[in-house]
Parts: sequence; C-alpha cells; structure tokens
Amino acid sequence: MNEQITRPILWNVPVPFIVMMYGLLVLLLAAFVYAGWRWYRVVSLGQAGENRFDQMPRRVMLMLRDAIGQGYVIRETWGWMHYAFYVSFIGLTIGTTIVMFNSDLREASKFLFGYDLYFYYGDFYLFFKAAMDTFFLLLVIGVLFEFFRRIVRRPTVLNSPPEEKVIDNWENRLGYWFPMTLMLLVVVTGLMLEGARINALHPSFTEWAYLGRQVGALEGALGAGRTFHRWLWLVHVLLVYSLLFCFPFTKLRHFIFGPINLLFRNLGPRGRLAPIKDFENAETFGVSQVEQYTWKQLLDMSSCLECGRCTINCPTVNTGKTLNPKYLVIEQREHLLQKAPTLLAARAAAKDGGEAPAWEGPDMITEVATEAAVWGCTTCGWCEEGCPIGIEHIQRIVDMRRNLVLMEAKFPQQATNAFKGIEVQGNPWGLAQEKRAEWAQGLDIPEMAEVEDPSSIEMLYWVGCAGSYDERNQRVSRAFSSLMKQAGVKFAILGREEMCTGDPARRLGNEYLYATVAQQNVETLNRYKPRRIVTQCPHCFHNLKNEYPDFGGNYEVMHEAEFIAELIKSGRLKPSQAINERITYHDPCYMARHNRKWDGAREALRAIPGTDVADIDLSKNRTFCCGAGGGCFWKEEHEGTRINQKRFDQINGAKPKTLAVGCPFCMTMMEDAVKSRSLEEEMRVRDLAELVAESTSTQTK
Amino acid sequence: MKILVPVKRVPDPATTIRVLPDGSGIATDNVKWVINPFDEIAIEEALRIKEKQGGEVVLVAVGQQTWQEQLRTGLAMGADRAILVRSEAALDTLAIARLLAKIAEEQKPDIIILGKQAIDDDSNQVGQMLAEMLGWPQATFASKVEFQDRKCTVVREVDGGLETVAFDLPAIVTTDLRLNEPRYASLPGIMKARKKELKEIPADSLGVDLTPKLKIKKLDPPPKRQAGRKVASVEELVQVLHNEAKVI
Repeated sequence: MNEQITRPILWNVPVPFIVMMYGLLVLLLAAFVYAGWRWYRVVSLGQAGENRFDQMPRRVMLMLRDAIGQGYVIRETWGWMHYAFYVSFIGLTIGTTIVMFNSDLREASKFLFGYDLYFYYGDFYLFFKAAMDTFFLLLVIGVLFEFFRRIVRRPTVLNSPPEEKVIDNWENRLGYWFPMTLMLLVVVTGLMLEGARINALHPSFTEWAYLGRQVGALEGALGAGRTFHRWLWLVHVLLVYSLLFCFPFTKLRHFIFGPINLLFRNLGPRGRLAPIKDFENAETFGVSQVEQYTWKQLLDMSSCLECGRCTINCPTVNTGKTLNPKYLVIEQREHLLQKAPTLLAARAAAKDGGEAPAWEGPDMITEVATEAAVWGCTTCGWCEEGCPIGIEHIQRIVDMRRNLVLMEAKFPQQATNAFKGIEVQGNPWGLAQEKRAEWAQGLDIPEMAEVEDPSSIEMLYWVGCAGSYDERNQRVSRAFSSLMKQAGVKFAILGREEMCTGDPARRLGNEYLYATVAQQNVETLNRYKPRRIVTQCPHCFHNLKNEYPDFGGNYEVMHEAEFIAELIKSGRLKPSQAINERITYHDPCYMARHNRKWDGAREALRAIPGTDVADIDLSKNRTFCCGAGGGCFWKEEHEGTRINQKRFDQINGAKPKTLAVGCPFCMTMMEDAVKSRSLEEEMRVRDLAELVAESTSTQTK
Repeated sequence: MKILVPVKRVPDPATTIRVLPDGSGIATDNVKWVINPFDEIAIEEALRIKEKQGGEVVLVAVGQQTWQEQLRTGLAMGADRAILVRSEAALDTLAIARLLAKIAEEQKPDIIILGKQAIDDDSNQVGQMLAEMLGWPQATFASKVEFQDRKCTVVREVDGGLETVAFDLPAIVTTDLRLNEPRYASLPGIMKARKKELKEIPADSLGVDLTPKLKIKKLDPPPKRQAGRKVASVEELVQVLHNEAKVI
C-alpha cells in the first residue's frame, strides 16, 4: 500500500487564510459570551419564582432526551424535516471537530504528551467521508423542504404577530430565511470544496465520498483547479462563520435557548398553577408589568422559536379569537426587550442612588397582550403540550388575570356571579348550599358527617358543583352512585360540607377566593382523612390531586373513569346489557392532557358488550377543548365561532351514535353543540358512568 | 360630596326561606347573609359619584354585631367609613327611619342613597319616611342619577315608562335594579377595609322612640305547589279556570 487512505488537512490553504480562520473563531467565542451576557441581563430582570434548580440530574436527562431526541418536534408533520438538518448540522459539526483533532490538536498532543492523536485515515476515514456526504444530502433536502414550506405552503402556524407589535431589529429582519440560506450555501460550498480537492488530487478511493466525487468530476470538466479550490475555501470558511455568528444573534439562537429552557421546565404536575403564598404582606398580586414575571417566564419568552406548534390545536386560534399563544409570547418578548433598557437603568439607579427612568411605552396587559387575549384562554393545555421547548403559557396568562381581578377588579361581568356564588353559597351557580345534596334524596347515600367511623369508608365521592346542582349532571351523579352501590363500594359524600374546589375562581385569576375555599375544603377533608377520593369532574380531580397539596391536602384521588374501570377489572361490576353502538369518547383536557389519563374511560366503554369504541385523531393527549375550561364556562364567548361546535364537528366525523364524555362541563358544551347542529335525533351525549350503568342495569333498554 | 348609604343585611336570594313552626319568624340556620342587592347598587352609585367629583361615602346599618360583615364588604368595595347602630331587637321601618334621620342630622350628608326596598320584607318605606322626617326632596326607583352643581337629576322607573325629576340637594335617592352593576371588591380594597373606621353606636343612645308601630303577627310559608293536571278540552279548561281557579 503506497497510498495512505486519508486526505491532507488544510491542503492548498495559504497561512494568512488559516490565521484568519482562527481569528474569527476567537471573535465567535466572544460573540457568544456577549450575547449570553445580554440575554442573561434581560432574563435576570424576572422574579425568583419557584425553584427550577432542583432535581438537576433528572433535568439534564430530560433535556438531552427532548433536545437531542427532538421528540416534540418530530411529532408534528414536517418535524422530520427539522430533524434532518438538525442531525446533519450536528453531524457536520462533529465532523469538523474530528478534523480539528487530527490537525491542530494532533500537534498540541504531540508536543504536550508525546502522543500522536491521529485517526483520520483508513476505514474510519472512508466511513467518515460517507457519513459527511450523507449529512450534506440530508441537510440540503431538509432545508429545501423548509423553504418549500415557508415560501410555498405557508401554513398558518407560521403567521407572525401584527407588525406594529414586533421590534424592527436584525433578529427579526433576518428571520429564518437568512440562516437557512446560509446553511444551504455552507453545505453546497463544502461539497464543492470536497469535489475540487478530489478533482485536484485524484485519490483512488473516492467511491465513499459518493457526492463529492460527482461534484468534483463536474468541476474538473469545467476546468477548476487549485486556484479555484483556494478561493472556494475562503468563501466556504466565511460562510461557515456567517452561519455560526447567526447562533448568538438570529432566531437560530433557539439552538441554545431551546435546551436551556427545557432544562428549567416545569417538573411538577402539568396544569398546576403556582399559589400566591402571602396575601397579607404583598403589595401587588399577579402580573401587570413584564418584570413581575419570574425569570423562567422571561426565559420562556426569550426562548420561543416561533414554530407555532402551540397554535395547532389551540381552541381560540382555531375559532378565530384574539388569543394566539404564539403571538402572545412573541409580543411579550418584544415588549420585554423594549422595556429592558429602562428596567436595567432603573436597577442600576437603585444601586447607585440615581434617578430611575420611568417606562413610557405601552402597557403590557391592555396594549401588548390585550384583555381579549387574556380572558380568552380555556387553560386546555394544548399550547404546552405542543411546545417543543417547554414554554409555560397558562401560568403567564393566569398571572395577568390575577392582576386584573385582584388589583383592579376588572374582569368579564358574568364572572362576578360565579365569584359571588362561590363566596356566598360555595358553588359558582350561586344556588343554595343547603340544597347541595338534594340530588341524592332517597338514594340512601351516607354523608360523612353521619358516618360513625370515617375510616370505614372505602371511597369518598366528591360530587362537585355540576354533579350536585346541574339537572343534567345530577343524572350522572345518580348513575355513578348506582354503579358504586351495585359494586358494593362503601362510599359516602360530604353533602353540605362539600364546597366548590375553587377551580373556576382560580383559573379566572381570583386566587384570593380560591385560597379561601381551598383552605376550607382541605380542613374538612383532613378531618375525615378519606382513604380515597373519586370525582366525576376532571377539574375537581385536578384541584384535589395536584393543587390542594399546596394548601396542605394530600389525597389519593381518582376520576370516575379509572374507578369504574377498576371495578370492572376486579369483577365487582359486570356490564351485561349490550349497547350495540359506535361510541366516541371526548377526552376532557384536565384528565387526558393535564393528567395523562385516558385508558380508564376506554376500558370501561369497551367492557360494555356490543360497543364499537372509535377514537378520532384529536383524542387522548391531543384532545381538543370543549370551550368550558379556564372558567370560560362562566363567561360569554363573544369572539369568532363557537369552540364547542368546532369540537363537536371533529367528533361527528367519526359518526358515532353516542358521544361519551367524562366531564360535566364537556357534557353541557357537547349537548349544546348537538342541539345547535340539530342532531339530537342522530346522536346522544352520555357520561361514561351513565353508559356503564345502562349496561349493568337489570332492566332492558 | 358627602354621601350616606344605609345598608341592610338580608338572606342571600338563593337561600330557601323556611318559616319557623310557630310562625314567629324564619329559620336562620343555613342562611347565607349578604348586603341587600338594592343597597349594593346604592353603594356602587355612591362610589361612582365619589370617583367623579370627590367626597366621602359613609355606610350606616341598624342591626346586630354580625352586620359588621356586610359593612366590611361595603368598605372593601370602596366606602370610606361605616357606622353600625347596634340594636339587638329587630326594628320596624319607622324606627329605622328615625334612627337614620338622627344619623343624617349628625353626619350632614349632601345626599342619602339607599335601596328602594330590602329583599327580605320588601317594605319599600324607609327612603320615603326618611325624606319626610328630614324634609328633603326624594327620588325613588332611580335608574339614572346625574349632578350639576347642587342640582340633581334622576330618571325614575315608573309603571310603563320613565320619569325624570330634578331637585336641589340635600336629597334622598332610592335605587332600582338597572341603575348600575355593583363592582367586585379588589384585594387591596378587602385588605384596606379591615383597617377602615367602623363605629358602633347603641341604638338607644340616640334618643329616638323605637317602640314598634308595626307588629308581625304570624308568618306563613306559601302553599306547596300542587301537581298540574291535564284537561281534555278548551271548554273544560275555561270551566276549570272560571269555577275552580276563579281567575276568569
């Protein structure tokens, strides 16, 4: 073997070029430090908030999984396109590093350790060449598809907020088209460079560089020689640096911000809102000024890469309402960046005792976010489900609601009734508290207060306001109770001692009222120390399970779906009457999305003989909101089209005979939608407990 | 402008009222208490006037210690201070009006705004009596209140239409349902209300004749609703309405 399988590194490159290359590298590192420092100053304007430095090993693992694995990116159509150039870019960067190891570091290693760090030859070299050419190819394909998508397809998720709300800076001017174009040029010139060298040196082992040799042949035919290669090298290196400088300064910075944001993501229960700890001594509540957000919330804004995944199944975006989580987070970021110099100057002034400048720009809630957007959110959680980098949208919106409600008492008029109802009668309908257990009259269901030994109660049934007061949902309460009776479950209710969990108040920003009722409920529950609690309302479930721990209440909580499935599995309930129907289950957001529970309902429905349980695409964690969450049940839906009709039409696509629900509010919304579509004859809406009860009842239908 | 707002504590409208077996009153266990909704409208109107032209809003209630709760709610909405005239016994409208007149003489408000009636006994008398005792003009059932210097213009809801009256201050205005939508107290408002002045005065210290002129003999619950029944024809319906129900 007289010819070694390798290539000369930095062949045909004059020394000044090489000096320039390393000079730029130093400049690049300085640019990263500078950009990092600038962003750090902006993010550090935020408040401390909850600890996001706990569980670091787990945080790092999850960050690597979702950043490198790109699970949330690939999940949506076109995600593989991003994956293609993401992987290729990393591959090519690793490739460049390997080359560096084998040239400059090789010399350094020889000098320092007397070890020849050199493996850029032989089989590895051939494999390396093939891999690099493949990455070239993948990157080009990925970028071209990206251009096709952005220029030809223009999906609505890529829409941007109105111009006047976006700063005129280089990052926004260059957008994604600039770094993407550079990426393409870098790869093309890289390939041409490889080809030019092959063409000039004619090594005998070029078949592994399967792209480079073709390009080289073409360049040779066109008469390219060493001079061409030399200048091409310069162009390529300058393009590479232009691209690298994009990382700190253009939207490509999401390459770094994304993983950092994932590192500090919420590890607590999904959909849980942070409580206000101290009502007595705080001067303001909620957020009206951008700097009142926590640093993580400011990091969220800074990190948003504008992919629009948060909008794909957002109920407000899809029904033509003002709220668009993508716009909101971008608008808030732009506002933050505009306000940051003033805030930083104020901070400096506070330190040095100078005069703090006043902010004279727009007001964040009324002018940047707008109140219509703030009140639109149903807290269904799709935006957080969709976001590939763990941006928390709900808390940011509820923080603004808290400010409007607690500080200004400014909120949709209809919500007043819900607040007062909870305040006075313990339910948002404002119906008499003493009537809370009227639905159970004659059913012989014990109330906890009458039970001699509360620990003998196997299951505390938390009925909820809808199950207690709403006529339609009272039927569900009766059906569910009858199931528990049939199964011989020893259960009791709280009766008049039960109060609204406070969910509507909390989601609507009335944290003070929420804290009041939560404390009372926790007090009641802790007195009885229930072994397990079952709810028929996912909102009650979520509050009892995930939010009451903040108020000293820790309970084992189940949703009716899980409990019914458990009773069927253990043979305590035997559905026997056939329901020969196609049934589509509409997953409630607060079970499926926020609490990842969707199997119980399906198990229960499938256990009924004769059922054909048909899921639609938008189900389980991808379910679409019925429009009632986030306290929206208690206020009018003025803008755009109706969310419940949108959801109903999606389900109607599967042509079920029965639309099954597992939430009293979904029940109301879906029944309304069926009526508004005049399909009462074709379709019925039933709670899954009603369906199971139908099947276990001894009478025939 | 100094505004006096008399406030009454009443059962929440959603509460089912149960009459005590002996008919002497209503059962108060399980009753949730609120500010009389019409008085709440009066507080809201007073606050709006104060926000527009400055001044002071003073709440006054005649009742027991528990009534402090409702006065605090009013203070949380934004009233400046409150007076609770303590009386353990339930008083009739005339006695209440006399006490309020006394308070008004002391406080010298420019205007007294109160609910047109309380939703518990629906008397609709205190405002009118108060106007007579003070010798002030009155505008009851107000659905719009406007000021020009010391002149007040009120749009009243009367049967089949609206009536506009104008008069000089001081005066009495009683509020109707459509006057405004009462506000919800802000949290700083609730916090501040705890520290606002709430003065208690014993009713018998005001030198007013509190002897009831009105005696409630007995309360009866409304008869239980009977189940409906179907009639076979229009003729029978007319017969039944005429002979049994005696409505036609």
